[in-house]
Amino acid sequence: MTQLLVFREHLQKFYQKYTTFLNLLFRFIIGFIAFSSVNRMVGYNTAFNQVSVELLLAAGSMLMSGSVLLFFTAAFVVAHIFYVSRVLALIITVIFLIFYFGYAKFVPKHAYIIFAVPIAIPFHLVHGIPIILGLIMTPSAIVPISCGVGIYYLLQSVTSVVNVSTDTSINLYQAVLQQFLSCREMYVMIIVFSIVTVVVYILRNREWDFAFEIAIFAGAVANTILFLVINYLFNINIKTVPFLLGMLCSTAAAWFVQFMRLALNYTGVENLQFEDEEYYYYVRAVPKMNVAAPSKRVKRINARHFSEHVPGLKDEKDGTKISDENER
Amino acid sequence: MVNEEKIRIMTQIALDETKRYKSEIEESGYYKSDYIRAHVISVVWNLTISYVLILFLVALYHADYIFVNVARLEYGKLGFAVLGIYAGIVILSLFFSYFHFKRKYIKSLSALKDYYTKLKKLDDFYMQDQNKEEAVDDTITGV
Repeated sequence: MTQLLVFREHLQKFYQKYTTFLNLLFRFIIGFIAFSSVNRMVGYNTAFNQVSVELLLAAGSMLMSGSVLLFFTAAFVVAHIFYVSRVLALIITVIFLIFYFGYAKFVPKHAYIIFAVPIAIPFHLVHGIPIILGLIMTPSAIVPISCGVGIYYLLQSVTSVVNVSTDTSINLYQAVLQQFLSCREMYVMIIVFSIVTVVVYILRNREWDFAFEIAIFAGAVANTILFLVINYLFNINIKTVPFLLGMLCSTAAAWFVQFMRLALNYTGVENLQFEDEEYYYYVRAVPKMNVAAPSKRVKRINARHFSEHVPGLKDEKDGTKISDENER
Repeated sequence: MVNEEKIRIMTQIALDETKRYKSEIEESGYYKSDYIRAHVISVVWNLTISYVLILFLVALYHADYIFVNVARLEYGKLGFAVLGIYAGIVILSLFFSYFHFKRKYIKSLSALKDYYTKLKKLDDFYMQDQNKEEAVDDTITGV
């Protein structure tokens, strides 16, 4: 544990030292993942569906703020769909605008969650999002998670309808909407993620030792069991091995986030009781774990200094014979 | 000579202004009633746009039916339903947003107390400096 805490300290110091560079790097990575995910999902326009374009846009996203990146990603999606159907591009634009005016404008931070969910689903890492949000937010996180899942399955419906239909009229929109509303996987995902978020939120607020870790574990177990049972009962096409691997990685990611955010030392718990004019207080204080990272001091011994302390060696360097005095 | 305490306070103020209380400071210039009114109007406006867009999607979905039955549609009932739902949304949003922004304004004011205390401390430093300068001026002129 101590080594992990030291590692955390080193990581924090490293981030503090290279904040500017690392922030740019993270923006580049997030931009690249976002634009390449869009290309994998709805990459109809061959002019945009290229690694060079993804890299170019990711480089551009280094200069963008978070909200501008969201706007460009949404525009990128619309540009791809416009290539195959103008009607569907209009519909998707209107849906994005409804999200913006009706939701993201009031809670801008939730827009990032809506953005992250569709990107994380193909990598099976989405299972970590309700666990993490249950740890750091309130159950209100269910709303952006559900919206994110909805957007992913809306784009999936668009791709599946466009792949089989040659129609370009308004019927395409009806087909997409029918496909979207009949998608059982989406409903299952929304319900399970809502349950997991609430379970994690309730458990992490308990006064237990290791409440956060228990919440993560319980969230992961609940998520796994619910998905497997529902898959067994209703056959919603979950591939067990990738799902379990994704679940494992998601749980590890959630634990890592929690560890970096807050590590508590439950061996040093103090239970205090005191009172004032109005109340009697029972306080449980858990100290945070903090370890000072050992700073390695490397003492350099160069040839010059070394030679100064070794009799004879200096003479050899100067071209004279070593330890003449000894020979005598 | 550099006054460390003064620099510490100035750094904290700069942090407050750029990160910690950025939105609170921006909104602190409003009177309570103006603040609530502006935000409630913004909420109603945004929800109106969203509602119109949703209506557009619904109309587009039923476009075939609408075109076929354009002469037989009961526009009175339809208009009443559309306006009724809109009125419901507006009333609910007015109610909730009024109390939400009222609470938010009070919260942001209490959060800014800390920021104003720092400003007061900084002001005290400047006052002290000014008093010192005036005292020096007196000795020079010999008054």
